[in-house]
Amino acid sequence: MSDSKNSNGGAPIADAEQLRREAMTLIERSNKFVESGDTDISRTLLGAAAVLIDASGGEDACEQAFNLWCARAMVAEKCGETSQLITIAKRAHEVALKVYGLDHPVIGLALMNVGDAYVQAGDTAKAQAALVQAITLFELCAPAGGYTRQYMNAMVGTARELLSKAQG
Amino acid sequence: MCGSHEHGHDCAHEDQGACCGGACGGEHDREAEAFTAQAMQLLEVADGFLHRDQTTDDAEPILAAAKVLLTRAGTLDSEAGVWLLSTTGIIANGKGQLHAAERAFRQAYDVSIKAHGENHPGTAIILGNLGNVLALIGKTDEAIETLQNTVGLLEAATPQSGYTAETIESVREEKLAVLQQLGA
Repeated sequence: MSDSKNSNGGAPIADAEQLRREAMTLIERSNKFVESGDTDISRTLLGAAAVLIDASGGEDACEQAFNLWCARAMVAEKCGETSQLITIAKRAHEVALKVYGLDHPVIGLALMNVGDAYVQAGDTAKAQAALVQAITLFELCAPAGGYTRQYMNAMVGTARELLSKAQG
Repeated sequence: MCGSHEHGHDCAHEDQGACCGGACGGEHDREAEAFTAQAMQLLEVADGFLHRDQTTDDAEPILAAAKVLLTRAGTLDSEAGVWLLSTTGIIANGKGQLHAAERAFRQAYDVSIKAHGENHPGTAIILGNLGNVLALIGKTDEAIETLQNTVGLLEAATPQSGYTAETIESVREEKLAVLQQLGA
């Protein structure tokens, strides 16, 4: 059990793991609201999740932060906010690198999301660059964190489809 | 955090310098206002969940986030803080998390005294909730003392802020019944 400090360096607020669990609950709930089209409530819930993650020690320190950025990407995509989607997907990738390191399957997923965002924005060159990196990573990195070889092979297929779409 | 005064002038508040000694040019005040506003938005959402849904699962993490924000803003000692903390206690009590409920009600009581005063019916009702939880935990002596204080406060309380005379009397009778069960 560890206490956490907020980003202002204030006094410990609560147990960091508990805050992260609560943040994850909010993220999952937000994703359901996105599916049902209620993006306003999703944004509010994700704002609350961000507060909890920050209070738990900051977003560079936990996997829930990656989930938070992915959830934000879902909202942006649902709302057709393409330019924001790129920014969010890139931030998710940055967070994933800090949390998981260079060669984890999650990095492949993050790169694929970046590529997808660029595909939606019509930026073929950047889409290709991100998707080729994603494919390479899925092919070379070892299964980890519940991501099996079979799953990663399927992701390679999805990334190739996106690449074809990018190339017209 | 300095949420109570403007910066950039000779401020005589006793908390001057708690954050920056006025060097931020009011930035911390604006930050506190933003935190409080976000917390209020979250409390509205949590209230909506509590009224609409049969489960408190969605409201709990939202309340936790709102508490973080109000704490950062330095505005937990407010009506919103009282509602947040007492609701947290009620949820924890409903889930059988009695020690968490005790903590929340104690904090809610302290905040309610600051926000409403000791003789406010809301403060007395929170104290009564604390008494019930103490009884359930088995802290009988403290429960009896707390509930006797509650009854005294309710007898002296005047209807206000949505607390009618009937509500106050109903809670008083319920607390007397608990006291009787405890052998007091």
